[in-house]
Amino acid sequence: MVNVDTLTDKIPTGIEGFEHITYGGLTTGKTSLVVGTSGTGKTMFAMEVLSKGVTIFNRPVVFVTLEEPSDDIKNNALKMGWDLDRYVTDKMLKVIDASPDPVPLEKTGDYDLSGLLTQIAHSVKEIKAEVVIMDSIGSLFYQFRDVGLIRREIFRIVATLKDLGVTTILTAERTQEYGPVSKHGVEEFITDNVIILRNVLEEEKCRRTIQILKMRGALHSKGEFPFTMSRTGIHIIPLSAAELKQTSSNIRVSSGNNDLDEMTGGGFFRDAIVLVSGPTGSGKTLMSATFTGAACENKEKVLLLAYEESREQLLRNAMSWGENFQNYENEELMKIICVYPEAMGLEDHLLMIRTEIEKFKPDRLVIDSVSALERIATVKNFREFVIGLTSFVKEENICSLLTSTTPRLSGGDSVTEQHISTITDIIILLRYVEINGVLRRGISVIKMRGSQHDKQIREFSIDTGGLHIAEPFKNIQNIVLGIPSQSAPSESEQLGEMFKK
Amino acid sequence: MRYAFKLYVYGQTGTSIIAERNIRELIEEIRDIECSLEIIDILTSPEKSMEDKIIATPTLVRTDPQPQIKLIGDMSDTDFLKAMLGFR
Repeated sequence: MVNVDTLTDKIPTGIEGFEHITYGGLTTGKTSLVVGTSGTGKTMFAMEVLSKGVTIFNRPVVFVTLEEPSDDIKNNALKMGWDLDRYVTDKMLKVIDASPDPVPLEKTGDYDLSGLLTQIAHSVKEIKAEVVIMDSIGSLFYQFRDVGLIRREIFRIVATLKDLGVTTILTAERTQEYGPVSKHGVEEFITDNVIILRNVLEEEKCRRTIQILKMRGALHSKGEFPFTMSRTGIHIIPLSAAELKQTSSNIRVSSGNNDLDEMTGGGFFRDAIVLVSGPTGSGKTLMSATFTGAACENKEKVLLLAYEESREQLLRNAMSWGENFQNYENEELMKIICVYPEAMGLEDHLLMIRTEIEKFKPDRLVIDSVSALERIATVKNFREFVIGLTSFVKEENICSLLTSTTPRLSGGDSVTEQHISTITDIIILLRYVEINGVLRRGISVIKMRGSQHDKQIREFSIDTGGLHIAEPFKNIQNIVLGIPSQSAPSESEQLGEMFKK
Repeated sequence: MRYAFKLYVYGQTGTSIIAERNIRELIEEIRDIECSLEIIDILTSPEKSMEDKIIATPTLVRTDPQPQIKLIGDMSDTDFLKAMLGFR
Protein backbone atom coordinates (compact mmCIF):
# COMPACT_ATOMS: atom_id res chain seq x y z
CA MET A 1 0.00 0.00 0.00
CA VAL A 2 1.30 3.42 -0.92
CA ASN A 3 0.56 6.10 1.60
CA VAL A 4 2.26 9.11 0.11
CA ASP A 5 1.70 10.15 -3.45
CA THR A 6 4.62 12.33 -4.29
CA LEU A 7 3.96 12.58 -8.01
CA THR A 8 0.99 14.89 -7.82
CA ASP A 9 0.47 18.03 -5.88
CA LYS A 10 -2.67 17.86 -3.78
CA ILE A 11 -4.60 20.25 -1.61
CA PRO A 12 -6.24 18.95 1.54
CA THR A 13 -10.00 19.44 1.79
CA GLY A 14 -10.35 19.18 5.55
CA ILE A 15 -13.14 16.65 5.18
CA GLU A 16 -12.58 13.86 7.68
CA GLY A 17 -11.26 10.80 5.90
CA PHE A 18 -11.12 12.37 2.45
CA GLU A 19 -7.38 12.94 2.53
CA HIS A 20 -6.98 9.34 3.53
CA ILE A 21 -8.87 7.88 0.59
CA THR A 22 -7.32 10.28 -1.93
CA TYR A 23 -3.81 10.14 -0.43
CA GLY A 24 -3.76 13.85 0.24
CA GLY A 25 -6.81 15.58 -1.20
CA LEU A 26 -7.80 17.07 -4.53
CA THR A 27 -5.20 17.51 -7.25
CA THR A 28 -4.01 21.11 -7.37
CA GLY A 29 -5.03 23.18 -10.37
CA LYS A 30 -7.33 20.46 -11.66
CA THR A 31 -11.07 20.20 -12.01
CA SER A 32 -13.06 17.83 -9.84
CA LEU A 33 -16.61 16.85 -10.56
CA VAL A 34 -18.70 15.82 -7.56
CA VAL A 35 -21.82 13.98 -8.68
CA GLY A 36 -24.72 12.45 -6.81
CA THR A 37 -28.47 12.09 -6.89
CA SER A 38 -30.62 14.56 -5.02
CA GLY A 39 -29.87 14.62 -1.29
CA THR A 40 -26.53 12.83 -1.37
CA GLY A 41 -24.62 15.71 0.19
CA LYS A 42 -23.06 17.47 -2.80
CA THR A 43 -23.72 20.95 -1.46
CA MET A 44 -22.54 19.87 1.99
CA PHE A 45 -19.34 18.57 0.44
CA ALA A 46 -18.85 21.85 -1.40
CA MET A 47 -19.60 23.96 1.68
CA GLU A 48 -17.23 21.98 3.85
CA VAL A 49 -14.37 22.30 1.35
CA LEU A 50 -15.11 26.02 1.32
CA SER A 51 -15.23 26.52 5.07
CA LYS A 52 -12.37 24.24 6.01
CA GLY A 53 -10.32 25.76 3.21
CA VAL A 54 -10.83 29.23 4.60
CA THR A 55 -10.63 28.48 8.31
CA ILE A 56 -8.04 25.71 8.48
CA PHE A 57 -5.89 26.14 5.40
CA ASN A 58 -6.20 29.90 4.98
CA ARG A 59 -7.15 29.41 1.36
CA PRO A 60 -9.31 32.04 -0.40
CA VAL A 61 -12.32 30.56 -2.17
CA VAL A 62 -14.78 31.75 -4.80
CA PHE A 63 -18.17 30.12 -4.40
CA VAL A 64 -20.61 30.23 -7.28
CA THR A 65 -24.13 29.29 -6.27
CA LEU A 66 -26.21 28.37 -9.28
CA GLU A 67 -29.16 26.75 -7.55
CA GLU A 68 -29.91 28.26 -4.15
CA PRO A 69 -29.88 32.01 -3.56
CA SER A 70 -26.80 33.13 -1.65
CA ASP A 71 -28.84 34.06 1.43
CA ASP A 72 -30.11 30.50 1.73
CA ILE A 73 -26.58 29.19 1.34
CA LYS A 74 -25.35 31.51 4.05
CA ASN A 75 -28.13 30.55 6.44
CA ASN A 76 -27.54 26.85 5.92
CA ALA A 77 -23.82 27.30 6.43
CA LEU A 78 -24.43 29.20 9.64
CA LYS A 79 -26.29 26.18 11.04
CA MET A 80 -23.06 24.24 10.61
CA GLY A 81 -21.17 27.03 12.34
CA TRP A 82 -19.64 28.38 9.17
CA ASP A 83 -19.96 32.15 9.03
CA LEU A 84 -19.69 32.97 5.33
CA ASP A 85 -20.32 36.68 5.88
CA ARG A 86 -17.25 36.84 8.08
CA TYR A 87 -15.14 35.10 5.44
CA VAL A 88 -16.39 37.67 2.94
CA THR A 89 -15.41 40.54 5.24
CA ASP A 90 -12.01 38.95 5.74
CA LYS A 91 -11.58 38.87 1.94
CA MET A 92 -11.29 35.09 2.06
CA LEU A 93 -14.49 34.41 0.18
CA LYS A 94 -16.43 35.77 -2.75
CA VAL A 95 -19.94 34.48 -3.30
CA ILE A 96 -21.32 34.79 -6.82
CA ASP A 97 -25.07 34.45 -6.87
CA ALA A 98 -26.06 32.99 -10.20
CA SER A 99 -29.20 31.34 -8.91
CA PRO A 100 -32.24 31.54 -11.17
CA ASP A 101 -33.45 35.13 -11.54
CA PRO A 102 -36.95 35.87 -10.25
CA VAL A 103 -37.31 38.11 -13.31
CA PRO A 104 -37.75 35.65 -16.16
CA LEU A 105 -35.02 35.76 -18.76
CA GLU A 106 -36.26 36.02 -22.31
CA LYS A 107 -34.07 35.06 -25.18
CA THR A 108 -33.78 37.12 -28.35
CA GLY A 109 -30.91 35.71 -30.35
CA ASP A 110 -27.43 34.39 -29.66
CA TYR A 111 -25.65 34.81 -26.34
CA ASP A 112 -22.94 33.22 -24.23
CA LEU A 113 -22.00 33.10 -20.51
CA SER A 114 -19.22 35.68 -20.64
CA GLY A 115 -20.96 37.48 -17.79
CA LEU A 116 -20.54 34.53 -15.43
CA LEU A 117 -17.01 33.93 -16.64
CA THR A 118 -16.14 37.59 -16.04
CA GLN A 119 -17.60 37.48 -12.55
CA ILE A 120 -15.62 34.38 -11.64
CA ALA A 121 -12.33 35.52 -13.15
CA HIS A 122 -12.70 38.96 -11.58
CA SER A 123 -13.41 37.48 -8.15
CA VAL A 124 -10.49 35.05 -8.39
CA LYS A 125 -8.12 37.92 -9.09
CA GLU A 126 -9.62 40.15 -6.44
CA ILE A 127 -9.13 37.81 -3.48
CA LYS A 128 -6.35 35.70 -5.07
CA ALA A 129 -8.57 32.65 -4.79
CA GLU A 130 -7.00 29.22 -4.95
CA VAL A 131 -10.24 27.30 -5.18
CA VAL A 132 -13.43 27.88 -7.18
CA ILE A 133 -16.55 25.93 -6.32
CA MET A 134 -19.64 25.86 -8.56
CA ASP A 135 -22.80 24.32 -7.09
CA SER A 136 -24.45 22.94 -9.12
CA ILE A 137 -23.81 23.25 -12.81
CA GLY A 138 -26.96 21.30 -13.66
CA SER A 139 -28.93 24.42 -12.79
CA LEU A 140 -27.42 26.23 -15.78
CA PHE A 141 -29.07 23.72 -18.09
CA TYR A 142 -32.45 24.57 -16.57
CA GLN A 143 -31.92 28.30 -16.61
CA PHE A 144 -30.83 28.48 -20.23
CA ARG A 145 -32.20 25.27 -21.75
CA ASP A 146 -29.58 25.34 -24.47
CA VAL A 147 -27.67 22.13 -23.75
CA GLY A 148 -25.00 22.37 -26.44
CA LEU A 149 -24.23 25.98 -25.65
CA ILE A 150 -24.10 25.46 -21.89
CA ARG A 151 -21.76 22.51 -22.23
CA ARG A 152 -19.47 24.65 -24.42
CA GLU A 153 -19.61 27.51 -21.92
CA ILE A 154 -18.88 25.30 -18.91
CA PHE A 155 -15.89 23.98 -20.78
CA ARG A 156 -14.76 27.54 -21.46
CA ILE A 157 -15.09 28.48 -17.78
CA VAL A 158 -13.19 25.37 -16.69
CA ALA A 159 -10.42 26.05 -19.22
CA THR A 160 -10.13 29.67 -18.06
CA LEU A 161 -9.89 28.59 -14.42
CA LYS A 162 -7.19 26.08 -15.32
CA ASP A 163 -5.23 28.90 -16.96
CA LEU A 164 -5.59 30.89 -13.77
CA GLY A 165 -4.15 27.92 -11.88
CA VAL A 166 -7.05 27.47 -9.50
CA THR A 167 -8.46 24.18 -8.27
CA THR A 168 -12.05 23.83 -9.37
CA ILE A 169 -14.86 21.82 -7.85
CA LEU A 170 -18.10 21.40 -9.76
CA THR A 171 -21.14 19.58 -8.51
CA ALA A 172 -23.68 17.95 -10.80
CA GLU A 173 -26.81 15.85 -10.50
CA ARG A 174 -27.31 12.33 -11.59
CA THR A 175 -30.51 10.38 -11.96
CA GLN A 176 -29.52 6.90 -10.82
CA GLU A 177 -27.20 5.62 -8.10
CA TYR A 178 -25.64 3.16 -10.49
CA GLY A 179 -25.95 4.52 -14.00
CA PRO A 180 -24.63 7.34 -16.13
CA VAL A 181 -22.11 9.43 -14.20
CA SER A 182 -24.05 12.66 -14.58
CA LYS A 183 -27.24 13.92 -16.11
CA HIS A 184 -25.86 16.14 -18.83
CA GLY A 185 -22.73 14.19 -19.59
CA VAL A 186 -20.50 16.92 -18.19
CA GLU A 187 -17.96 14.32 -17.08
CA GLU A 188 -17.11 13.79 -20.74
CA PHE A 189 -15.27 17.06 -20.88
CA ILE A 190 -14.42 17.75 -17.24
CA THR A 191 -12.18 14.79 -17.05
CA ASP A 192 -9.62 15.31 -14.31
CA ASN A 193 -11.35 13.92 -11.24
CA VAL A 194 -14.76 12.38 -10.71
CA ILE A 195 -16.16 11.81 -7.21
CA ILE A 196 -19.47 10.03 -6.75
CA LEU A 197 -21.66 10.43 -3.67
CA ARG A 198 -24.37 7.86 -3.11
CA ASN A 199 -27.30 7.40 -0.79
CA VAL A 200 -28.49 3.87 -1.37
CA LEU A 201 -31.48 2.24 0.24
CA GLU A 202 -30.51 -1.33 1.03
CA GLU A 203 -32.80 -3.65 2.96
CA GLU A 204 -34.69 -0.59 4.24
CA LYS A 205 -31.48 0.99 5.48
CA CYS A 206 -29.91 4.10 4.06
CA ARG A 207 -26.26 3.89 3.36
CA ARG A 208 -24.17 6.84 2.21
CA THR A 209 -20.99 6.18 0.33
CA ILE A 210 -18.31 8.13 -1.50
CA GLN A 211 -16.30 6.80 -4.39
CA ILE A 212 -13.34 8.31 -6.20
CA LEU A 213 -14.19 7.19 -9.70
CA LYS A 214 -11.09 8.70 -11.17
CA MET A 215 -8.28 11.01 -10.29
CA ARG A 216 -6.19 11.58 -13.33
CA GLY A 217 -2.49 11.07 -12.84
CA ALA A 218 -2.83 10.49 -9.11
CA LEU A 219 -3.21 7.53 -6.83
CA HIS A 220 -6.37 7.07 -4.82
CA SER A 221 -8.25 4.34 -3.00
CA LYS A 222 -10.77 2.45 -5.07
CA GLY A 223 -14.26 1.40 -4.16
CA GLU A 224 -17.04 2.91 -2.10
CA PHE A 225 -16.38 4.24 1.38
CA PRO A 226 -19.24 4.76 3.81
CA PHE A 227 -19.72 8.22 5.24
CA THR A 228 -22.06 10.02 7.51
CA MET A 229 -23.12 13.63 7.86
CA SER A 230 -23.30 15.32 11.23
CA ARG A 231 -23.53 18.84 12.57
CA THR A 232 -19.85 19.25 11.98
CA GLY A 233 -19.79 18.03 8.41
CA ILE A 234 -19.00 14.92 6.43
CA HIS A 235 -17.15 12.02 8.02
CA ILE A 236 -15.75 9.41 5.71
CA ILE A 237 -14.98 6.08 7.31
CA PRO A 238 -11.79 4.71 5.84
CA LEU A 239 -11.85 0.96 6.11
CA SER A 240 -8.14 0.46 6.21
CA ALA A 241 -7.45 3.27 8.64
CA ALA A 242 -4.30 2.20 10.34
CA GLU A 243 -3.16 -1.04 8.85
CA LEU A 244 0.50 -0.14 8.89
CA LYS A 245 0.68 2.26 11.77
CA GLN A 246 -0.40 -0.18 14.45
CA THR A 247 2.28 -0.75 16.99
CA SER A 248 2.08 -3.70 19.30
CA SER A 249 2.50 -3.70 22.98
CA ASN A 250 4.01 -6.32 25.25
CA ILE A 251 2.50 -4.81 28.34
CA ARG A 252 -0.33 -6.82 29.76
CA VAL A 253 -3.41 -5.68 31.60
CA SER A 254 -5.56 -7.74 33.88
CA SER A 255 -8.91 -9.05 32.78
CA GLY A 256 -10.06 -8.56 36.38
CA ASN A 257 -10.20 -12.28 36.94
CA ASN A 258 -7.10 -14.10 38.17
CA ASP A 259 -8.15 -17.41 36.69
CA LEU A 260 -8.72 -15.88 33.29
CA ASP A 261 -5.42 -14.01 33.47
CA GLU A 262 -3.81 -17.36 34.05
CA MET A 263 -5.62 -18.91 31.10
CA THR A 264 -4.41 -16.11 28.82
CA GLY A 265 -0.83 -16.47 29.97
CA GLY A 266 -0.79 -13.37 32.13
CA GLY A 267 -3.60 -11.11 30.97
CA PHE A 268 -4.55 -9.26 27.80
CA PHE A 269 -2.06 -7.19 25.85
CA ARG A 270 -2.65 -3.49 26.40
CA ASP A 271 -3.66 -2.84 22.78
CA ALA A 272 -5.60 -6.05 22.27
CA ILE A 273 -9.10 -6.43 20.95
CA VAL A 274 -10.89 -9.13 22.91
CA LEU A 275 -14.02 -10.80 21.70
CA VAL A 276 -16.16 -12.62 24.25
CA SER A 277 -18.74 -14.78 22.57
CA GLY A 278 -21.48 -16.72 24.19
CA PRO A 279 -25.21 -17.31 24.42
CA THR A 280 -27.42 -15.08 26.47
CA GLY A 281 -26.91 -15.37 30.21
CA SER A 282 -23.55 -17.07 29.95
CA GLY A 283 -21.57 -14.37 31.74
CA LYS A 284 -20.49 -11.92 29.05
CA THR A 285 -21.74 -8.84 30.84
CA LEU A 286 -20.16 -10.10 34.06
CA MET A 287 -16.87 -10.49 32.27
CA SER A 288 -17.05 -6.97 30.92
CA ALA A 289 -17.92 -5.69 34.40
CA THR A 290 -14.89 -7.30 36.01
CA PHE A 291 -12.73 -6.06 33.15
CA THR A 292 -14.05 -2.55 33.79
CA GLY A 293 -13.58 -2.84 37.54
CA ALA A 294 -9.98 -4.00 37.20
CA ALA A 295 -9.18 -1.08 34.94
CA CYS A 296 -10.76 1.50 37.22
CA GLU A 297 -9.01 0.07 40.28
CA ASN A 298 -5.82 0.53 38.32
CA LYS A 299 -6.82 4.17 37.64
CA GLU A 300 -7.32 3.47 33.96
CA LYS A 301 -10.23 5.13 32.19
CA VAL A 302 -12.98 3.00 30.71
CA LEU A 303 -15.63 3.87 28.17
CA LEU A 304 -18.56 1.47 28.36
CA LEU A 305 -21.15 1.30 25.61
CA ALA A 306 -24.24 -0.68 26.43
CA TYR A 307 -26.64 -1.58 23.66
CA GLU A 308 -28.75 -4.11 25.50
CA GLU A 309 -29.33 -2.74 28.97
CA SER A 310 -30.42 0.53 30.44
CA ARG A 311 -28.14 2.48 32.69
CA GLU A 312 -30.05 1.50 35.83
CA GLN A 313 -30.01 -2.18 34.98
CA LEU A 314 -26.33 -1.99 34.27
CA LEU A 315 -25.50 -0.27 37.56
CA ARG A 316 -27.64 -2.69 39.53
CA ASN A 317 -26.17 -5.78 37.89
CA ALA A 318 -22.62 -4.55 38.33
CA MET A 319 -23.36 -3.81 41.98
CA SER A 320 -24.54 -7.39 42.48
CA TRP A 321 -21.09 -8.53 41.40
CA GLY A 322 -19.45 -6.03 43.70
CA GLU A 323 -18.54 -3.43 41.10
CA ASN A 324 -19.69 0.09 41.94
CA PHE A 325 -19.82 1.79 38.53
CA GLN A 326 -21.41 4.90 40.00
CA ASN A 327 -18.30 5.53 42.09
CA TYR A 328 -16.04 5.07 39.13
CA GLU A 329 -18.12 7.51 37.14
CA ASN A 330 -17.95 10.05 39.94
CA GLU A 331 -14.19 9.70 39.93
CA GLU A 332 -14.31 10.27 36.15
CA LEU A 333 -12.61 6.97 35.59
CA MET A 334 -15.58 5.66 33.71
CA LYS A 335 -18.17 6.78 31.27
CA ILE A 336 -21.30 4.78 30.56
CA ILE A 337 -23.28 5.35 27.40
CA CYS A 338 -26.52 3.47 26.91
CA VAL A 339 -28.13 3.74 23.51
CA TYR A 340 -30.62 1.75 21.56
CA PRO A 341 -29.04 0.35 18.44
CA GLU A 342 -32.04 1.66 16.50
CA ALA A 343 -31.45 5.21 17.72
CA MET A 344 -29.27 5.97 14.73
CA GLY A 345 -27.55 4.52 11.71
CA LEU A 346 -24.43 2.44 12.05
CA GLU A 347 -22.17 5.13 10.62
CA ASP A 348 -23.53 7.52 13.21
CA HIS A 349 -22.86 4.97 15.95
CA LEU A 350 -19.28 4.71 14.77
CA LEU A 351 -18.96 8.46 14.62
CA MET A 352 -20.41 8.76 18.12
CA ILE A 353 -17.99 6.17 19.51
CA ARG A 354 -15.05 7.91 17.87
CA THR A 355 -16.14 11.31 19.14
CA GLU A 356 -16.58 9.94 22.67
CA ILE A 357 -13.18 8.26 22.55
CA GLU A 358 -11.55 11.47 21.40
CA LYS A 359 -13.29 13.42 24.15
CA PHE A 360 -12.94 11.00 27.05
CA LYS A 361 -9.59 9.45 26.01
CA PRO A 362 -10.21 6.07 27.65
CA ASP A 363 -7.55 3.42 28.16
CA ARG A 364 -10.09 0.70 27.70
CA LEU A 365 -13.29 0.27 25.77
CA VAL A 366 -16.13 -2.12 26.48
CA ILE A 367 -18.97 -2.74 24.06
CA ASP A 368 -21.78 -4.90 25.34
CA SER A 369 -22.81 -6.20 22.92
CA VAL A 370 -21.48 -5.50 19.50
CA SER A 371 -23.83 -8.10 18.04
CA ALA A 372 -26.83 -6.00 19.10
CA LEU A 373 -25.84 -3.64 16.31
CA GLU A 374 -26.12 -6.41 13.74
CA ARG A 375 -29.84 -6.05 13.52
CA ILE A 376 -29.83 -2.43 12.40
CA ALA A 377 -27.60 -2.91 9.41
CA THR A 378 -26.93 -4.97 6.36
CA VAL A 379 -24.12 -7.49 6.52
CA LYS A 380 -21.90 -5.31 4.34
CA ASN A 381 -22.60 -2.27 6.42
CA PHE A 382 -21.91 -4.14 9.64
CA ARG A 383 -18.61 -5.44 8.37
CA GLU A 384 -17.53 -1.91 7.51
CA PHE A 385 -18.55 -0.78 10.96
CA VAL A 386 -16.55 -3.48 12.69
CA ILE A 387 -13.46 -2.83 10.57
CA GLY A 388 -13.79 0.92 11.04
CA LEU A 389 -14.19 0.56 14.79
CA THR A 390 -11.44 -1.96 15.39
CA SER A 391 -8.90 -0.16 13.25
CA PHE A 392 -9.67 3.05 15.12
CA VAL A 393 -9.29 1.57 18.60
CA LYS A 394 -6.09 -0.16 17.50
CA GLU A 395 -4.72 3.12 16.36
CA GLU A 396 -5.60 4.69 19.68
CA ASN A 397 -4.05 1.77 21.60
CA ILE A 398 -7.19 1.06 23.54
CA CYS A 399 -7.62 -2.38 25.06
CA SER A 400 -11.12 -3.27 23.94
CA LEU A 401 -13.49 -5.92 25.09
CA LEU A 402 -16.39 -6.63 22.76
CA THR A 403 -19.11 -9.09 23.56
CA SER A 404 -21.12 -11.03 21.04
CA THR A 405 -24.29 -12.94 21.68
CA THR A 406 -24.59 -16.16 19.78
CA PRO A 407 -27.89 -16.69 18.00
CA ARG A 408 -28.62 -20.02 19.67
CA LEU A 409 -28.32 -21.03 23.30
CA SER A 410 -26.07 -23.88 22.37
CA GLY A 411 -23.62 -21.60 20.64
CA GLY A 412 -22.95 -21.33 16.95
CA ASP A 413 -21.61 -18.48 14.88
CA SER A 414 -23.06 -15.01 14.75
CA VAL A 415 -22.47 -12.52 11.97
CA THR A 416 -20.30 -10.61 14.40
CA GLU A 417 -17.91 -13.50 14.81
CA GLN A 418 -17.61 -14.09 11.10
CA HIS A 419 -16.51 -10.53 10.49
CA ILE A 420 -14.69 -9.79 13.65
CA SER A 421 -12.74 -12.93 14.38
CA THR A 422 -9.84 -12.20 12.05
CA ILE A 423 -9.47 -8.71 13.46
CA THR A 424 -9.52 -9.65 17.11
CA ASP A 425 -6.44 -10.63 19.04
CA ILE A 426 -8.15 -12.72 21.67
CA ILE A 427 -11.32 -14.78 21.40
CA ILE A 428 -12.96 -16.19 24.48
CA LEU A 429 -15.85 -18.59 24.12
CA LEU A 430 -18.48 -19.10 26.79
CA ARG A 431 -20.71 -22.14 26.31
CA TYR A 432 -23.44 -24.05 28.08
CA VAL A 433 -22.56 -27.70 28.53
CA GLU A 434 -25.22 -30.23 29.30
CA ILE A 435 -23.94 -33.18 31.28
CA ASN A 436 -26.27 -35.79 32.66
CA GLY A 437 -29.22 -33.43 32.46
CA VAL A 438 -27.46 -30.58 34.26
CA LEU A 439 -26.44 -27.32 32.57
CA ARG A 440 -22.90 -26.30 33.32
CA ARG A 441 -20.78 -23.55 31.91
CA GLY A 442 -17.59 -23.84 29.93
CA ILE A 443 -14.96 -21.26 29.04
CA SER A 444 -12.20 -21.51 26.50
CA VAL A 445 -9.58 -19.20 25.06
CA ILE A 446 -9.54 -20.24 21.44
CA LYS A 447 -7.20 -17.60 20.11
CA MET A 448 -4.55 -15.39 21.60
CA ARG A 449 -2.20 -13.56 19.31
CA GLY A 450 1.42 -13.42 20.34
CA SER A 451 1.09 -15.42 23.53
CA GLN A 452 0.71 -18.89 24.90
CA HIS A 453 -2.66 -19.65 26.38
CA ASP A 454 -4.63 -22.42 28.00
CA LYS A 455 -6.16 -24.58 25.28
CA GLN A 456 -8.50 -26.52 27.50
CA ILE A 457 -12.17 -26.00 27.97
CA ARG A 458 -12.68 -25.29 31.61
CA GLU A 459 -15.75 -25.30 33.71
CA PHE A 460 -16.71 -22.09 35.42
CA SER A 461 -19.38 -20.92 37.81
CA ILE A 462 -20.91 -17.58 38.68
CA ASP A 463 -21.75 -16.41 42.19
CA THR A 464 -21.81 -13.09 44.03
CA GLY A 465 -18.03 -13.08 44.03
CA GLY A 466 -18.03 -13.15 40.24
CA LEU A 467 -16.71 -15.70 37.87
CA HIS A 468 -14.74 -18.72 39.06
CA ILE A 469 -12.88 -20.91 36.65
CA ALA A 470 -12.33 -24.51 37.70
CA GLU A 471 -10.97 -27.68 36.17
CA PRO A 472 -11.17 -28.65 32.50
CA PHE A 473 -14.10 -30.77 31.44
CA LYS A 474 -13.11 -34.38 31.19
CA ASN A 475 -14.46 -36.85 28.71
CA ILE A 476 -16.79 -34.37 27.03
CA GLN A 477 -16.52 -33.67 23.33
CA ASN A 478 -17.77 -31.02 20.90
CA ILE A 479 -18.56 -28.37 23.49
CA VAL A 480 -17.52 -25.53 21.20
CA LEU A 481 -19.76 -26.83 18.45
CA GLY A 482 -22.65 -26.75 20.88
CA ILE A 483 -23.25 -30.50 20.84
CA PRO A 484 -21.44 -31.81 23.91
CA SER A 485 -21.28 -35.57 24.16
CA GLN A 486 -19.63 -37.85 26.63
CA SER A 487 -16.73 -40.02 25.66
CA ALA A 488 -15.13 -42.89 27.46
CA PRO A 489 -12.19 -41.90 29.67
CA SER A 490 -8.85 -42.59 28.10
CA GLU A 491 -6.78 -45.56 29.22
CA SER A 492 -4.26 -43.47 31.12
CA GLU A 493 -6.99 -41.66 32.98
CA GLN A 494 -8.61 -44.93 33.93
CA LEU A 495 -5.27 -46.16 35.21
CA GLY A 496 -4.76 -42.92 37.10
CA GLU A 497 -8.15 -43.26 38.74
CA MET A 498 -7.30 -46.82 39.75
CA PHE A 499 -4.13 -45.80 41.53
CA LYS A 500 -5.89 -42.98 43.36
CA LYS A 501 -8.02 -45.49 45.07
CA MET B 1 -43.30 58.03 -20.90
CA ARG B 2 -39.57 57.66 -20.59
CA TYR B 3 -37.59 54.49 -21.16
CA ALA B 4 -34.18 53.63 -19.75
CA PHE B 5 -32.03 50.72 -20.93
CA LYS B 6 -28.75 49.19 -19.92
CA LEU B 7 -26.97 46.92 -22.36
CA TYR B 8 -24.22 44.69 -20.99
CA VAL B 9 -21.74 43.58 -23.63
CA TYR B 10 -18.47 41.66 -23.58
CA GLY B 11 -15.81 43.55 -25.52
CA GLN B 12 -16.00 43.73 -29.27
CA THR B 13 -17.41 40.24 -29.75
CA GLY B 14 -19.81 39.46 -32.58
CA THR B 15 -22.92 39.18 -30.45
CA SER B 16 -22.03 42.37 -28.58
CA ILE B 17 -21.68 44.41 -31.74
CA ILE B 18 -24.88 43.02 -33.24
CA ALA B 19 -26.85 43.58 -30.04
CA GLU B 20 -25.74 47.18 -29.76
CA ARG B 21 -26.60 47.84 -33.41
CA ASN B 22 -30.01 46.21 -33.07
CA ILE B 23 -30.96 48.15 -29.98
CA ARG B 24 -29.82 51.46 -31.48
CA GLU B 25 -31.90 50.75 -34.59
CA LEU B 26 -34.92 50.09 -32.41
CA ILE B 27 -34.52 53.36 -30.52
CA GLU B 28 -34.15 55.14 -33.85
CA GLU B 29 -37.37 53.54 -35.06
CA ILE B 30 -39.45 54.64 -32.06
CA ARG B 31 -38.06 58.19 -31.98
CA ASP B 32 -41.30 59.66 -30.58
CA ILE B 33 -40.60 57.91 -27.23
CA GLU B 34 -37.82 59.27 -25.06
CA CYS B 35 -35.16 56.56 -24.54
CA SER B 36 -31.82 56.49 -22.75
CA LEU B 37 -29.30 53.74 -23.40
CA GLU B 38 -26.22 52.94 -21.38
CA ILE B 39 -23.70 50.51 -22.83
CA ILE B 40 -21.65 48.65 -20.21
CA ASP B 41 -18.66 46.65 -21.31
CA ILE B 42 -17.95 44.06 -18.61
CA LEU B 43 -14.62 43.20 -20.22
CA THR B 44 -13.26 46.63 -19.29
CA SER B 45 -15.33 47.09 -16.11
CA PRO B 46 -15.80 43.56 -14.71
CA GLU B 47 -17.00 44.89 -11.35
CA LYS B 48 -20.24 45.94 -13.10
CA SER B 49 -20.97 42.27 -13.86
CA MET B 50 -20.76 41.57 -10.13
CA GLU B 51 -22.98 44.48 -9.13
CA ASP B 52 -25.75 43.68 -11.56
CA LYS B 53 -25.35 39.88 -11.49
CA ILE B 54 -24.80 39.47 -15.20
CA ILE B 55 -24.52 35.82 -16.21
CA ALA B 56 -25.10 35.89 -19.97
CA THR B 57 -24.00 38.48 -22.50
CA PRO B 58 -25.39 40.40 -24.20
CA THR B 59 -28.00 41.27 -21.58
CA LEU B 60 -30.47 44.10 -21.98
CA VAL B 61 -32.13 45.45 -18.84
CA ARG B 62 -35.08 47.83 -19.01
CA THR B 63 -34.66 49.73 -15.74
CA ASP B 64 -37.47 52.16 -16.44
CA PRO B 65 -40.45 51.90 -16.43
CA GLN B 66 -41.05 49.22 -13.81
CA PRO B 67 -41.25 46.26 -13.75
CA GLN B 68 -37.71 45.51 -14.72
CA ILE B 69 -37.32 43.39 -17.82
CA LYS B 70 -34.23 41.33 -18.65
CA LEU B 71 -33.47 40.05 -22.11
CA ILE B 72 -30.52 38.03 -23.26
CA GLY B 73 -29.16 37.51 -26.76
CA ASP B 74 -28.01 39.64 -29.64
CA MET B 75 -31.50 41.20 -29.97
CA SER B 76 -31.83 39.88 -33.50
CA ASP B 77 -35.45 38.81 -33.00
CA THR B 78 -36.69 42.39 -33.31
CA ASP B 79 -40.42 41.61 -33.37
CA PHE B 80 -40.12 39.68 -30.12
CA LEU B 81 -37.90 42.40 -28.69
CA LYS B 82 -40.47 45.09 -29.43
CA ALA B 83 -43.26 43.00 -27.98
CA MET B 84 -41.29 42.31 -24.80
CA LEU B 85 -40.41 45.94 -24.30
CA GLY B 86 -44.00 47.01 -24.86
CA PHE B 87 -43.56 48.91 -28.13
CA ARG B 88 -46.50 47.33 -29.88
